[in-house]
Amino acid sequence: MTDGFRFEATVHPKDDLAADTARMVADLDLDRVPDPTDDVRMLVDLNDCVRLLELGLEVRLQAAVPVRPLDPTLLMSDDAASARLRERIPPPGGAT
Amino acid sequence: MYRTVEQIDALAAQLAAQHPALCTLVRLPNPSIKGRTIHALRLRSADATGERRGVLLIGGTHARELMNPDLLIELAVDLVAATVNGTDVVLGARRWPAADLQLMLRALDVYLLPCVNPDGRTHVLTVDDMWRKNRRDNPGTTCDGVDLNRNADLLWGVAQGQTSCRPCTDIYAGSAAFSEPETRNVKHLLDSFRIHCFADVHSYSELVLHPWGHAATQTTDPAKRFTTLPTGTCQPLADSGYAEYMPAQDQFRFRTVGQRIVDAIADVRGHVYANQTGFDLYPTTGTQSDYAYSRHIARPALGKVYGYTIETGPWMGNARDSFHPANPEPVKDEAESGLLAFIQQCICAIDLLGAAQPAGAFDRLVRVRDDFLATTAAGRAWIALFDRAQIPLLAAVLADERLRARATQTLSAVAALLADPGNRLGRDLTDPAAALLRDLATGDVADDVADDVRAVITRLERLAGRTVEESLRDLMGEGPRGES
Repeated sequence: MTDGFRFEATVHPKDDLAADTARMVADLDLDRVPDPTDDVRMLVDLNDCVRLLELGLEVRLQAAVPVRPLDPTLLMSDDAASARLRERIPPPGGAT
Repeated sequence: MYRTVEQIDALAAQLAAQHPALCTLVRLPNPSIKGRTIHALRLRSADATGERRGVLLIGGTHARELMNPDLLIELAVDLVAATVNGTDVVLGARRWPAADLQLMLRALDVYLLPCVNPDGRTHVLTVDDMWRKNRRDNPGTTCDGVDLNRNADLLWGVAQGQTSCRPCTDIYAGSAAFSEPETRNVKHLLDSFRIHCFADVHSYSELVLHPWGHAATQTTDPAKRFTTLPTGTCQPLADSGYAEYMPAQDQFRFRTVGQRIVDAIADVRGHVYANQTGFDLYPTTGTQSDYAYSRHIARPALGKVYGYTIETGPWMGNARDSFHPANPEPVKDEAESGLLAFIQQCICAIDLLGAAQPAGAFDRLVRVRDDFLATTAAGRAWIALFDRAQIPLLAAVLADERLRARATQTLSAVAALLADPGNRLGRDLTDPAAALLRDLATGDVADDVADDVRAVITRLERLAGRTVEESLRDLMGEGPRGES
């Protein structure tokens, strides 16, 4: 994966030809991620898209996936991170 | 919500500091590629001594699969809380009684490596939330990272399916098998302790995966073994129709235990994970769970390890939200339930009661199970019955010294009898064994356990007076419910 634009994409054989899409994608060493309907889904950059198109595959871009850190609102505070231990095994005398 | 690496480490250290009799930090020999010290956590009951049958659960191999390190450290807290306070673990609609968790730590050493790849996790939290690999600087390229779940010594460098020799891919296998310090740490745990059950927890897609991952599995041609195949080829397997051998009994156990994991997960909120091989997802080589199972084949002196990969969590509409959903709690709950079932399935009554006996005293029992019963469908049905019934019965045995002594005496007598196939099962053995089972099955046992006990007593009646050889033939020919 090179820097720059990145997309979540599904890849399909053109014209419903019975191409072995999974095998073709495996040969390109792309980052395949699970797909709920067993489509071939992956993270690709623009160069990857070009390679897939040159193989005669249809590339459907599902979402842009910019390079960015985890949403900080998804991080626990230090207090929350140890809360389970305090709740399940309260320290003697209730001290914290 | 997710913890940072520092918060996970701090929680593990706090747990070990507050409960040193139950919980020990195990410093691993290899710092991460960026120099971070990594610890595993060992949980065992306070009265445990010596090296015992072990379970190893690891998470965070792939950096962006954020839920699983949190899940594993929370599992550690719950196991300790159940032991210290008698606190049941309630996971959605599934309640795990404290007594069940206490039995796990009485019977097993549970090793947890919550975050295999701490540098990768930190990179996800601070730079790129879709990062997968470790943070290796690959020389001669501008691309960083090795896929830690392609780096193990099982057909390493065979570019089968989702495995690559190219450093710029997200599925790069590395420069050599175990080139990465993080994977060497996992190998160290497998090498150093008596690990019998292993699970590598990943995300996403609601799967419980067992070997093989590099090819389809077959049970008929033992000559087809990965040990005969070339490694490091950077090409797919030459024979595209190749199928890897696995003994039928191992396949049966993988499927049976996998189904119990699936059932325990479904109990939480009804999500039914698929129980399948890794290859059914997509072909891979060098994965940690397949490596764990492959070790005893590559080196027969090593013990067998049943290795699973669990893919936690559903599709959430896109990959980013599936790898780290805004609310991971329900997924962690169901995964914890599945892992508790997995730990429970690793308990072995023979192993536990045999620990107080001279070394090897119960080996014949294990050999009868593995070399005879496991080879037929009927025999495997008996094994499944024992695996199912042993947990509630063991709890009763361990709670009462007299019952424990009777159980040990019975197993010792059976082990002695097995020394000669011509020995006969006398009433002096079958009657006390049946009486013990009746005593164990009195009181508050579930109907299915009572049914299992009745099936064993009925068969004991039938076998009384027969030789060992005749008895084994009988058990291998007809299961407890008439299976053949």
